[in-house]
Amino acid sequence: MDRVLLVEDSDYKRSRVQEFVVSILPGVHLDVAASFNSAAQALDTGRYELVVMDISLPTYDRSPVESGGRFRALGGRELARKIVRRRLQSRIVFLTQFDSFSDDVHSHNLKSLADTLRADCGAQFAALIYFDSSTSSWKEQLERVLLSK
Amino acid sequence: MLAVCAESIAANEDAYGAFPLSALADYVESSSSCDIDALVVLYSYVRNVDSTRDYVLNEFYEEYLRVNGVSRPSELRLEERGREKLLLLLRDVSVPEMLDFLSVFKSSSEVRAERLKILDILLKERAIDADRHRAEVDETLLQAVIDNGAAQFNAHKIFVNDVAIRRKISDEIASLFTVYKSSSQAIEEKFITIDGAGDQDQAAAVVTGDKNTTLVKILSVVLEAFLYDDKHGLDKNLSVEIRHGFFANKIRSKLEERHLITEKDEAGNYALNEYWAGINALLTDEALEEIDACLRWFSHEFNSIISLAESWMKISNDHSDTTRVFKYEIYLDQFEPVRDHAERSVNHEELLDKVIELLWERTETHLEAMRSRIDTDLRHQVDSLFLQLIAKLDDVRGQAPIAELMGSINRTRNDIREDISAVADWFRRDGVTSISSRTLQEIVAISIECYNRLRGNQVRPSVETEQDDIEIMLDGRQVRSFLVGLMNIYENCTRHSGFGTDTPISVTLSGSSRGWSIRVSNPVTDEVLSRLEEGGLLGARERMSGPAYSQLMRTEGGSGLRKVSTQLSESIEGAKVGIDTVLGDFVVVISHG
Repeated sequence: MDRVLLVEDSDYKRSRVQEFVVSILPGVHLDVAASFNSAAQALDTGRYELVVMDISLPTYDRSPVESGGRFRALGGRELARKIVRRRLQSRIVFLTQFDSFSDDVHSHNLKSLADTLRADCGAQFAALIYFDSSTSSWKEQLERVLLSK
Repeated sequence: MLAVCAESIAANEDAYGAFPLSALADYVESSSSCDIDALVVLYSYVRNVDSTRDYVLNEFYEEYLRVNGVSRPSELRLEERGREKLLLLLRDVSVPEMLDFLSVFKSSSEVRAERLKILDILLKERAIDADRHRAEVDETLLQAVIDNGAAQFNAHKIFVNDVAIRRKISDEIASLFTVYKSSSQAIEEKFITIDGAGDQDQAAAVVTGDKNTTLVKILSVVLEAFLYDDKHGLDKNLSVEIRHGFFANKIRSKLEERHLITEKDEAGNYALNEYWAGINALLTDEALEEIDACLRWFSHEFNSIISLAESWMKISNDHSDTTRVFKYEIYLDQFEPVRDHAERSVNHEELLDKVIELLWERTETHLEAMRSRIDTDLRHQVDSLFLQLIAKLDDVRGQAPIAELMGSINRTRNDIREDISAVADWFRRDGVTSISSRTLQEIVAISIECYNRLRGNQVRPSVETEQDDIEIMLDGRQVRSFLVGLMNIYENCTRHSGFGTDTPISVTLSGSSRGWSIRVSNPVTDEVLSRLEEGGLLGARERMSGPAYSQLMRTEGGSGLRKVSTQLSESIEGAKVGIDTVLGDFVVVISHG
């Protein structure tokens, strides 16, 4: 795997994932985007074999003059649908800390989210991985995707 | 049928009820035909039937612009054919929450600038009236100020987009309000129970009847949207901005940096702490095992504390969970003031304002409780956990030198207190109330910065300060109104000078111990100058000095400098706003003292 895009707004999580991806694929070209909008732009120009993305994202990159705009609870899903609609050939991994909102009745839980994303992405769906910094299982799951053809 | 449906909705938005909207939306989605009819139908479907399918509308909207060869909606050509549908597209579909899906806009400011352009087009085309235009321009300017404040001055995370929520539920509340006002109160002694009665023996019940039942329904609609709207509600905010990893990551980061916490595998077993095993490699195997057992125990206990704290950050609107801090049951004593207010309200907006205000009051109380829990309970629990770890390791220390590990634990124990305080500070409202006190110079600078960003740097007011040491401070609440007032003045300059966005604007700030003034001036075209000198200026002064501004603003929406005058004089007691023409320039002077 040569080209990977990582879409993640949390510095902490981004650096952990970045470090891990590079440890598994030492020569990889890894681009990073920190928001829905910057990821959409990166997808316009880059040809990524794999996109690893968070589910919830701010609309814009945060900076001293930009608070990030609307926080999109399912921004990763919106991006994935853009990838499919634009007929980009990237496989998609969702790496999320999303468990559920306060009440499952009102929103997705992890299982229903996986079903929705699989339906949206079809064959391009690679995995939905629950990122919990207290466990190592996300690394094992992501490694399987990174090393698969 | 698609075309007929779209035509009808463009002429009257309530006409959707006469069409099989779901079937039409399914057809549109499956056919991928992306024309204005499809967009209008999808818009009505998402608005009135299923808001969770808004992503389909987003995608069709983006595609529609692409097919029409434009990158932004303000570039669409308004032709006579299909004019009403296009105006609906601009007025109701091309709102900030839709525009921010388009990759062409690189920041929130660019989205707002586009909305301002669209509002100008709508006003020119008479698709909105001056009051609605003015109200939305104000709202947009205020959002720019809030965003600036949020990005620059604070790290508060609590945000409910009550503007978007109002827009979303306004029609439903309007209908219910009409029912409420036309209903009579039943006299029979039946009761309806309001969810979440506090004392089980004194159920929160009100006498049933059309009025009360309708009012409970109104409260439920607002409460549901305020708490659970999946784009703009509080639960979404708490989930994605705090619970969704941010909290755990923040609290764990120092521990991970210093390798004091280890990961667990899928079976729930904590990994060996290889880092400290390596540092302490010279110790006996027995001592190493004991140290590792202490660190594993610590990792487990720390994760449990995080889970408990995360459970506080959830919402409940019944009595099923007592660990949650954000509780929103409606009690009888809270229902009655709403009923009184509903009786006094002349329109649904007044009632909606009141209910949202009450919800914010309740939320502020919960935020205070949350800050207290984080700053006292969580801090205490984490601190005692560190003390227990230190005590456990002290037993090992008797047998082995582990100074480096102990030093690391003590440093982390201190550092984590700062992180806990930072997290406590997240539980404040992001936005309006969090803009901090500022000096006049800063306010002028911020107003120009916000306005520049909104207008894409096309208009860049120049600033001159006649005395450097002006130390006039305004508190946070004054700052907000004052900033919006100033930005409205700049907007007024470009709108009425006759030069449009090419209008050069000068801002001069002067002050002394006796008072201060801000002078905003801009040249105007000869035609505009004649109008001003032939009675325009006099008329504007009369309108500005007229009585009961606030009431006029409420009932008529207000306009132009009259509104600015109200915003500024209400934000600072004793502030006056004057207008004049000087050497061909139009001049606004805000003075105090």
